[in-house]
Amino acid sequence: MAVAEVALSNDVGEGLDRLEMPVNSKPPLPRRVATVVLPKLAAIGFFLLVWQLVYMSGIKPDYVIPSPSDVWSSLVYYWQQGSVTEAIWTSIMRAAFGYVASVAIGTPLGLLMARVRIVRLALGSTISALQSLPSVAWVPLGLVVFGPNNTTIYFVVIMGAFPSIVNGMAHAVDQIPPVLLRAARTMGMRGLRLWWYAVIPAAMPGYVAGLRQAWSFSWRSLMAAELITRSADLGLGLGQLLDFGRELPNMSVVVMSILLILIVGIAVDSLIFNPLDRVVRERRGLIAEV
Amino acid sequence: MAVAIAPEAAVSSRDVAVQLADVTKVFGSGAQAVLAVEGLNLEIYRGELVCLLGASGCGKSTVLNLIAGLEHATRGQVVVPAASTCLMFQESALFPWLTVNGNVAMPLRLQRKRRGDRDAEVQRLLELVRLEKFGRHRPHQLSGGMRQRVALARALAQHSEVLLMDEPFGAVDAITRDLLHEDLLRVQDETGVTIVFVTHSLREATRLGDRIVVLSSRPGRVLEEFPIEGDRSPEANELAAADIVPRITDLLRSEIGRHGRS
Repeated sequence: MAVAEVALSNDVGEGLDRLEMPVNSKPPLPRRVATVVLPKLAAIGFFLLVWQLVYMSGIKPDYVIPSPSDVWSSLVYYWQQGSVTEAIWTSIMRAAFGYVASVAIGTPLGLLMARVRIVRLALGSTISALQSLPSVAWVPLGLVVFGPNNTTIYFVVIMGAFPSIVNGMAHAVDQIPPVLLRAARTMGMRGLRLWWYAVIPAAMPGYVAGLRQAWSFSWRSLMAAELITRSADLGLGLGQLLDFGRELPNMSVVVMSILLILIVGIAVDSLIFNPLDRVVRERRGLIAEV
Repeated sequence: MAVAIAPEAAVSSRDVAVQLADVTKVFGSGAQAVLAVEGLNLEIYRGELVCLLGASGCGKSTVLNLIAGLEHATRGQVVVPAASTCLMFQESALFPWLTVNGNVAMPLRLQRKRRGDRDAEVQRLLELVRLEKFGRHRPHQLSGGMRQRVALARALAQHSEVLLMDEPFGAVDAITRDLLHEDLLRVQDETGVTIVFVTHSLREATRLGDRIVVLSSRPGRVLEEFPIEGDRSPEANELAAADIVPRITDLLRSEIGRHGRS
């Protein structure tokens, strides 16, 4: 009798565990691809259509607004010449270098700001102000101090991107649920171990959001810097390609450069930061089923 | 006979695990000072399960925090074992970035246990709370009751002599709570850990406790203690409850009424 009762209560326990588990159903891969990719393709198609119509309406002469096919032939021409790949590669390397430096500066500063009250009081509002300062404002200063070279470009990129990282980290630490830190303390975590095992991992979702925002800031800052900073021995980046088109003047090159800047920016975000963000949030159950 | 009831023998030897002697706790100072606990005397014996019961404002959680060392007594003395205490709350407070295995392993990592030993112990603890199949799940994939069992396994991984529980089953449904009670009693039988269990549910207190300590409200002090005789089967419990429940209910009512008059 007693054995039967224990067995029954085990069954009830297991049944309850199974019934109460959230059910997770993902739509099949082809459908997910279709729902994600199709709207994007449709939007691009619509954009090209409007562009073509504006071109055909003749509001502006065709040396001011080139047609999609003009831009396409420019792309093919400069691609074959090697300028497109060179410009993309140069810009990506510059942005990556400046971005990594921003992360290296911003992360410890953000942690320091979250942890030390004095640092927060001293730097908090300055960092937020820096974040809203358009980074193109740093270009003249950089040019005078460092000259028309890569150092100026890195300077502008770093000034544009690191405040997002600092703020991202500091706010992420602020938003950690207090109960997690209480649990960590009751486990005996103090000082560095508390930070390593609890605070930093708990802050990850907010930190990743900061990383992502910093990428878009560093890419924007880079274009501002490249557009203005020009010299013979400075490598050709997308910003310089854009300015080169303006000087020719060849609007197809200008529009091509703008599109390339957009495409690279979106590609890095959707290939690196979007998956990173998803992984971090999915693990914690922070993605709502839509 | 004496051999058969070894756990009871241990309790009856009156081996004190936690002692609070004339403890007073005041929050704040001056005009805003709040007297949360005053002249509280309580002894908790090794291997015992004591339920602290009281109306709102009786300082139940303060008493736990005092024992856990998260608060310090304003006056009086709190004696706890060297192997310290561990605490469980109403929220499971599991780390959402770790799997169930990772959560239970966390205290072991802090103890600098080797990986192999760690894995074996995590497995053993998860079996103890019937969750050995869920090691690779993440907390958000589990139900509330399952999360509390993971939290229990994690607390046990601290190897503390005393487990402090602050209304840990307050947020789960009745059937789940019954099962959690069975689990907790079984875990205590197997591990011999001393448990101080704070609750506002009289039913929960009579089901679990070897002894119920009723606290007064604002300031908290011990009103009366009710030992629960007999073994821990539900039947024996109901028998004990029939006698005790009306007495405690009256006690709590007059205690709350006292505050209504003043």
